[in-house]
Formats: sequence, C-alpha cells, structure tokens
Amino acid sequence: MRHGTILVIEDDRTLCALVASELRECGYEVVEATSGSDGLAHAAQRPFDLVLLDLNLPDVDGLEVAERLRDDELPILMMTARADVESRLAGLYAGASDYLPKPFDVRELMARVHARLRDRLGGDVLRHGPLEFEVVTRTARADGKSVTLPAREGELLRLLLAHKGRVFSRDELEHRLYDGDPPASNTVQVFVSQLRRRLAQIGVDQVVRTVRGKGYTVA
Amino acid sequence: MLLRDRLTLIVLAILVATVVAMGAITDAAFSAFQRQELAQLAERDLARVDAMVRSGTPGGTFLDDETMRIEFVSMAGRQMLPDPGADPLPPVAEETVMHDPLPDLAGAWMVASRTWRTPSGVEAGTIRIAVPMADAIAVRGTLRRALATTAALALAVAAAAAVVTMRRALRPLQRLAQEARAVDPANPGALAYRGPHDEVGLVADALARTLDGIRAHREVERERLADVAHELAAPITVVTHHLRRLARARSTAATHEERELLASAAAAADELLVSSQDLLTVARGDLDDRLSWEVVDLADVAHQVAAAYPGVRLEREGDDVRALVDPVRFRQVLRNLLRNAVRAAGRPKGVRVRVLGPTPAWVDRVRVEVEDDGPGLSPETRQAVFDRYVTGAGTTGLGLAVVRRLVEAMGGRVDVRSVAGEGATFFVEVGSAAAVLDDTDDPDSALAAGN
Repeated sequence: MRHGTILVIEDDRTLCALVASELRECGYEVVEATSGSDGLAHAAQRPFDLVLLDLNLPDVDGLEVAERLRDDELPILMMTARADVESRLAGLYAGASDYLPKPFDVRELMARVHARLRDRLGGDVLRHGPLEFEVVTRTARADGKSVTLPAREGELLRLLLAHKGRVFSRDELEHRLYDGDPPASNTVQVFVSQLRRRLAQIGVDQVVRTVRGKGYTVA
Repeated sequence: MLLRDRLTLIVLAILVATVVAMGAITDAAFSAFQRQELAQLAERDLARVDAMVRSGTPGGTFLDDETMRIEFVSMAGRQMLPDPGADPLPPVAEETVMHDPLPDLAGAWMVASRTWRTPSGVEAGTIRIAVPMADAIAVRGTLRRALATTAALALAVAAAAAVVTMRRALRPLQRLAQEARAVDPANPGALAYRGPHDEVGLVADALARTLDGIRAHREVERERLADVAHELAAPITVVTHHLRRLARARSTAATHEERELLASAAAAADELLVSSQDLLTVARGDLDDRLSWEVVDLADVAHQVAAAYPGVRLEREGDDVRALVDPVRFRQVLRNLLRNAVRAAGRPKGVRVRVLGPTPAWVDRVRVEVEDDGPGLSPETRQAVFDRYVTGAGTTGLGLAVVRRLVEAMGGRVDVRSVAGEGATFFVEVGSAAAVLDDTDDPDSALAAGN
C-alpha cells in the first residue's frame, strides 16, 4: 500500500514546514506551497491524494482555492482560525465541511490525515463488515454474492464507505453527486433507496444508515 | 407604582377638584344672582310704596295696591291710623337701605327700608319691605342636588374614560418594554417594535441605535479576535509541537535540569494550545452550524484523550457506546473534563473515566462520567461551576464554560455530582447514534416520525 501524496497550502512558512516534515516522517510524499496560486499551480501539475488547505491565504481567497480544487475532485482538509470563514464554509457544504480549527494539535491533524488517506488508499477495495466494495468496477460483494452498481450509486457508496461514521447531509451529497444541481429534490433519497435494495440482493442490510434529521452515513 | 396608575390617579384628582370647584362656584354665583333679584324686587316694591305714600290717599286705614297693603307704624311699633283731617306730612325720603334679614324678622327675608324724616330732621317713621327668601333657598337646594348628581355621573364617566385612555396611550410603551426585554444581551438582535413616530417611537429609535452600536462593537471585537486568533494560531501550533518533540527526544546532550525545563515548557505549551482553543470557542458566535457530525465510538475517544494522562482508569459499560457528535469538539470536551479532574485529584491515578451506553435512566443517550477523588465542590461552587470565569477547586474559569457550550451545541447536557471532601463526578450525555439511525429513505421524514 502506497502512502500517498499530500499538498500542503499554508502561508505561515514555519507551520507549513512543520506539517510537511511531520507528514514526511509518517512516510507521505509532501509538496509545500505558501500561497494559493502556488498551490493551484502544483495541483494542476500532478495528482494528489489529499490537500491540506489554510483558508487564510495572502493572494487568493482560500475558499476560491477550495472550490477550484474540488472541481478536480481532490479531497481537501481545510484549516482555519477565522470564525467568519468557518461560517461561510458551513454555508457552502451544509454542515459536513471537512475542516480543522486552528490552533490545532499536530497529533490531531495527523490522525485526521491518516484516517482520510487510509480510506482513500485502502486499495481499491473498501470494506465494512461482510461488505467489500471494489471501487473501479463498482462491484459490491458479500458472502460469495456480488452486484454491480450504477455509476452514481457506486459513487455514493464509495463516499460513505471512505468516510465511515461521518454524516453526509442531503445537501452535501447533492453537491458531491450532482454539483449541487440535482434533477429532482428527492434524488438523493431515491439513490439511497435503490442502493439499499441492491445491497439487500447480496444479503447486506443496515450498512447505509439514515441519521434522523441529519443525513446519511455508514456506521 | 406603575406610571399608568400614577397618571390615572393624577387625572382623577384633577377631575374631582375641577368638579368640586365648578359646583362651588355655580352655587355661589347662583346665590348671588338670587339675592340680587330679590333685592331688586324689594327695591321695586319700596319705590311703589313710596309713590303710594307720597300721593297719599288720606282717610283710609290702609293704602291698598292690588298686591300690597301698607300699614303705618310708629317708632315705638304701634300701628297708627292716619288722621283724615291732618295735613299730610311733607316727609323727606332718605336713601333706601338694603338689609340682610333683620334680627326681628324670623326666617330669611330680603328687606328694604327707607326712613322718613320731617323737614326739621325728626324721624317720622320707616317704610320697610320684606320679601321672603324661603322659595329661593328651596330652589337653591334643588339646584345643589341636581348639580351633585350631574357631577357624580360626569365624574364616573370621565374617570372610566381616563383609565381606558391611559391604558391605551401607554400600551405602546409596554410593547416596547416587552421588545426590549426580549433582546438577548449576549447577542442583541434588532428591535421588533413598530409604531408611530411619537415619544415612544423616539425611545424605540434611541434603543435601536444603542443596540446597533452594541452589535457593531461586538462585530468589531469578533473581527479583532479573529485576527488575533489567526496571528496566534500558527505560532502556538508550532511551539507546542516542537517543545513536545524536544521534551520527548531525551537528548543526551541535555542536562537533567534542561530536560526538566523542557518538559515543563512542553506541558505549558500544551495548556496554551488547549486554552487558546477554548478561548476561541467561547469567543465565537453560533456553534451549531459549524458542527461536523459523525457517528463516533465514545470509548475510543475516551481512550485517545486519556492517553495524555497515563494512570487514568478507563471503564466501559454497554455494548453500543456510539454517539452522534462532532468528534473534534467532543475531544475538546473530554480533554477539559479530564484535565480538570487530574488537577483536582492531584494525580492521574485518582481519576476514573466511565463510558456508559444507553440505560433506562438515560434512554437514547450515551454518557461519559469523569470521576475524581479530589476535594470535591461546595454546593455554591457546584451551582456556578459551568458559568464563565467562575473558578472553583480544580477547575478553570473557561474550561467548564466551554464544555457546557460545546455539549449543548451538540444537543447534550453536562452536570456534576459532588460532595465536598468526597471528590466530584462530571458527566456528559450526548445523543446515542443507535437511537437516530434507521433505514427510512428521507432523514427529515424520519425526524418527523421520530418526534
């Protein structure tokens, strides 16, 4: 299993260097950028498994950087010390934004990164209980039975499995699956329902759970 | 006493005084007019008698007019008969004198008299006309009764009107007071009062301006704090981390004393990190919309947090201790509780953390108890311990305020059980994940069904 490549965009050079060195120590390959434009340039050149993004950058607005990185489907862990930015974040990603408030304990940051990358790089197979999901072929297996999922249901299951425990609001799933512009208001609901039916065909139930009043999760 | 009641009383007093004064003046004026009229009556009659006497109708006992009879009376009061043969006296009339009832006339009379004298100046007699006042007095009594009745009625109506008007006039003021009371001092919003631009409107305007000022001021403060936070965040993170690494490295180059210093600096930096996180949590506005919900095994969280304090005992009861929380915030909660407990106990060994799954006593909840064998809390401290800046044995001012704020933002509750001298147990209850997980398709309809 490869360790993964991480892009760190942080304008405080000392903190940037510290985070980078810690990550390298853990075996990750790290590219450092101390400005937003610098970071976007790096992101354009090569693929990354994760971006650590400081939202308070001197040149480009951090949220704009985040938006552009998201277009490239890069997972982002945002860091911020500013409450106002946090509120804007919350508005943007409807309660499921992935960020770490500053100042943080570096151990906490490392734990987050490990968890994120373990899921993402856990090979191309994600597991939960008896369920195995092969991301590339979108094949779900359990007890010798298998079923192939349609593209968006596959993406939905991958998202949930890759972030076990995390609750995705309906808004965020719409954002992730349809760029915030779903064909109907109950689209996510319909996908979840179909996904559950297909998983039931291979004897898997109670994997994709509804969290009352909040959204969906795998737990 | 309410302004309304005070004003009503004042208006009522003015009304009563006015009515009484009007009654008194009317009565006095009426009496005066009556007297004037009676006096005129008496004078007129006197003039007529005078004329009759002057024209003298000698030979009769009486001088008779249609409505009047005249008798002649001597100075001694003896009735005198006019002497038909005698020359009529050529008397000289003096001025008419008006009297109030004379002592020798019983009852109330209006009296007019004129003294007659001979040309040599000897008094020849007096003509006196007395008009009874009984009727006038009776009329005056009737008028007084009518006046009193009218005044009482008018007073009652006016008083009722005054009370109602006063209430109505002061209602906007009450509404404004209500609006002002509804303003949250911690987070002053706009004033909802809408009304005419009268005096109350002016007060509302002034109040709204004050609130705007406070809000703007808070916004500036928040901005400033955000700037400070931004400036401090990176250095604190870096210093904490480096010191911790240095302290752990146990370099052979360092003396024992230097290592001690490093360890102490690292511990202090850790405190600084945690405290600055707490400070920012308290300083920030609403937390609710910034929570990142996850299904988290609280036993795992307790394990991670307790790792910073080797010696703390960990216990777990119940199979499912998963809760729906924001994991970063929940760790912050536990860290605060644990830090306080270790401080209170004086050593990690005196602290026990228990993670308890749902039980009949707290259905739908997962509970974490942090128990220390420190000095405990007095009842007063126990009451106030979650208030900001209140410090007690083994607690920090900010830490527990932060704990409560975070726990409540996550929909949970926190409390403490303690007997002075026998340690303290802080407990946190948050929503059990199992209780909110189901397989309906729509999370919001599930919410409706759940309620």
